[in-house]
Amino acid sequence: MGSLISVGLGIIVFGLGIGIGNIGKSALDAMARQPEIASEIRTALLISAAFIEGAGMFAIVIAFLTAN
Amino acid sequence: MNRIKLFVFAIAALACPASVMAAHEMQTDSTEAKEEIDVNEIIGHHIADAHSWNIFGYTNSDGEKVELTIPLPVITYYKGDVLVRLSSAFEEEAVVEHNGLYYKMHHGKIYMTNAAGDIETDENGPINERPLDISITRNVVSMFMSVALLLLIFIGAARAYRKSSVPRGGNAMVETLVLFVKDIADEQIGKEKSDKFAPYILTLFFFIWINNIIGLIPFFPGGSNLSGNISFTGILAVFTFLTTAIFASKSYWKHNLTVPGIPFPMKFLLVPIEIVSMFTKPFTLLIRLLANVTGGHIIILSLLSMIFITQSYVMTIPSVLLSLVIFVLELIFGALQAYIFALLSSLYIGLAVKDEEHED
Repeated sequence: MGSLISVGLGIIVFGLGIGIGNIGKSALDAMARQPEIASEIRTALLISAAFIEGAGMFAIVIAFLTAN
Repeated sequence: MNRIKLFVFAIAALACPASVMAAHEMQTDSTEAKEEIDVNEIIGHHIADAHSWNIFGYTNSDGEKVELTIPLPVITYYKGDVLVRLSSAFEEEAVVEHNGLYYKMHHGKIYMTNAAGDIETDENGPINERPLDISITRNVVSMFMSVALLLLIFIGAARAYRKSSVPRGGNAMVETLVLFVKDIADEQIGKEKSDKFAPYILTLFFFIWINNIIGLIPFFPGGSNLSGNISFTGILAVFTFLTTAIFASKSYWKHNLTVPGIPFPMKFLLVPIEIVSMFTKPFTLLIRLLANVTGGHIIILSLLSMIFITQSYVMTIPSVLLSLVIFVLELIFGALQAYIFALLSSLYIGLAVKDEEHED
């Protein structure tokens, strides 16, 4: 059970990495194209990253709860 | 050349807290060779709240454990009986008698027992009744200190404006930070309404930030895992939830509870989703801060524990360096998490208070 949870946590972080990486990539592209609205893009980047992270956090917390 | 010297000095200065933390948390007898060290228990102790504040401890040449611990008040309420004692009265599982009731501390929690102090357990742990525990614990003391620090900084900065409208020195930095956070509120809530909510957003940001920083100080006045405590993040999330619920505009309730503009059968699907999402928003705020701060503390301590698991001097170098990197990362994350909490809170408040009169 414990090792299965570890594998699950790995998969969660894999998904989170892809998601947040994609946001960072698009944000960088957009900032390079339009540096004058970089601060707005940064806010949008942080908000969407926070949402994705929130979904991941749910999974991680549930994993911890089932581990005990 | 100077730059390299500065770099080496900076590394050495930053490595200090890491090694102090290692020495502080690993108080087990490392002099005795190859003793099993329960890292989980050590980390768990650091993460959890406590009734007393352990400052340092070591094993002296006679093999005795010397510990310096500040006892903190234990305040409990049980069926009309209020007990106020210092936590030193509960040391070594002593049974404390008060008005015919018997109290005992077992693994950091107060239980009601009989005169002999028996703790009955089943497979889920002790089943004895517990009094309502409103003690001044380590986290509470840490919170009082951060509140005092915040008051000192910000009252000082506010007073500086009496002398001149241009603040100097540290007060100028406070002004920059305050304006930075005020901009978040202005952007997300809208300039007309943000004056009402900006004080709350500012308080959130600075309170979370200062507690994150204090939590990273490895020695006495810091080191408690306050912003990684579920009651701390929970109550802040509840405040945000209540603010959105109380100040929400009519159109917010209309959009969330009736979801206009979609075919009628779809409402059976979407209305419950909207209602659930009203609660998940503050819940993610709670979980995010809790998991990030606690996760940071666990990673730092786990890396430092590698020394004590492998019991080798060679391991010291990579483990202190790695934990140093995480330490720096956590300093940035401490500010980032405070920023994200303030940003998302103002976003949720902004969504709720905007009354958009658009066509559906």
